[in-house]
Amino acid sequence: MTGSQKILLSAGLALTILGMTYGLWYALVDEHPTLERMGVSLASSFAEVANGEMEQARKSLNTYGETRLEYIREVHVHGHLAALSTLLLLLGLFFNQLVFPERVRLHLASLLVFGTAALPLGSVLEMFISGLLPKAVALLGAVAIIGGLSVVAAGFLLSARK
Amino acid sequence: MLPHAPAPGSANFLSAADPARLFVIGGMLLVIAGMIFGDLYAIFILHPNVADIGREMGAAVTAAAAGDADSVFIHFGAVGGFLENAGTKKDAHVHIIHAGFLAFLLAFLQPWVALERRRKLQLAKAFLWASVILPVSIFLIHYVGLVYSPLQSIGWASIFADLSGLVLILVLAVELVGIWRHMRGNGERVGAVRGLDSKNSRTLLAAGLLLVLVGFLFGLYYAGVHLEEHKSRELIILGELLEQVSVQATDAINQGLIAYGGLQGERAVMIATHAHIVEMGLLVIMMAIVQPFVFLSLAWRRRLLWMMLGGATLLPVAIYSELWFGLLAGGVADFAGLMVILAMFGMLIGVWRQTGKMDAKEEQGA
Repeated sequence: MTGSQKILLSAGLALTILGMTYGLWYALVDEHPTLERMGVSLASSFAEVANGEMEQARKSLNTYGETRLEYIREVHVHGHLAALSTLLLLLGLFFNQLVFPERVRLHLASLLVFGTAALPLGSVLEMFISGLLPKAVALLGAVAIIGGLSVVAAGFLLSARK
Repeated sequence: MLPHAPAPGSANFLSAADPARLFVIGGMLLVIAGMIFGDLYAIFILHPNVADIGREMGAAVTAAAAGDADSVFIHFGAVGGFLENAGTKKDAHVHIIHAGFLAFLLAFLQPWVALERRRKLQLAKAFLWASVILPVSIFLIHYVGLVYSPLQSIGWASIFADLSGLVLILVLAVELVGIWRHMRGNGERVGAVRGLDSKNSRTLLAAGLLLVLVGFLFGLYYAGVHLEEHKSRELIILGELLEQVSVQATDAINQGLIAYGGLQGERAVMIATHAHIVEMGLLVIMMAIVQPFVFLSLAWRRRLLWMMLGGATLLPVAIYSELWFGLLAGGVADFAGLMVILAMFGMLIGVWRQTGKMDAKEEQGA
């Protein structure tokens, strides 16, 4: 097992465990209240219109919008951690066969691990911080993964030609 | 022409006593089961469910316009039930496939997991049992509900789903410990993944990497262009619906409901496209790794390869085309899913034959 494989496989497994633990915590603690709040706020907004309480209906709709966004972000974190860490594990199995020298492979592996951690981290930060910082972290993660994977794909194409 | 004999160093991989055999076959069976379930879900549940949700949503809005607040809650309660029905089935589909992916990956990690063989076999069995119980429990959440539950909001099916998720996490944690032990000098030195130098493996690897990359770019496009717009459009449509309900503007209410349904469909199609391109890409790369262990003639391996690639490419394209061609594209997506299922099943038979060949050799040797 080369150094780059060690990075990809150990980080891939650790991030898989983190993603699954987050999913378990979410299912146990947060999912049911979030879904309940989302459904009740949307239903309340229309019930309040039925009762002629337009101002209250708008407030309930805002609560629905915020809760729905929170729900999307929470599912996003779990889903992306799971899929991206699977990719790390998968690449780690045969990363030693990539045409580049090990020094380059080490940088590539680190970049992919950074991206896998940063993309869902951006979504987590969005739940607590407003503004550009969380979006920038997520974008940086996405660019790192896409950039890293493009180089990996190019490397394997070069390997095939050789 | 049949594949070469196992390379030195990994000759024991997939042997009868190797936990990797359980992981490979179990993982492929889980993915196949998850895909069959996904196809059935798309054909029999997804579209009727969307119609049910639209009908109840319309009834709720009509009740609000008539000033009947109680009926509003009843109809939204029904919407919640339909959403739970569809959501748990989608989650079962996703979790069974992902558990299959992990089982498959663990198979090829086994030579680098420095633990006793007996312990590794126990871990493999625990992982596969939990991988079956998890999606089955998720599927049952909608039907079991809170019957005899000791908790206020979580039913027995959810409890079993959470427990099986915990087992999966614990198994992965022990496997990680095994890999760390290997990094410190224990266990086998040679990995199980053989050179991806056959034409089949190279083709699948290139196509898989390309699919994953396209899937990521599509995700970036969706996040950059549509995510915020969808979020704000949904609130605008619902806000206008509230206004129209308050003045009982029937035509405008109907148009608002159509716009709301259209937006939900658009969002679901885009997210499904992104998820399926990436999933198909990961699956195709996994099939590149398994090629040297598919004990079938070259002609059959080529047929299965093209069937897999055709299905894996067509599936997300057809899902995205649902934006314009609706159910027709949905039918093509189901057909593409079937192509991938058949290709995987064929490759699984090849792996099965490989293990049979190894067993026969072992028996001859004994």
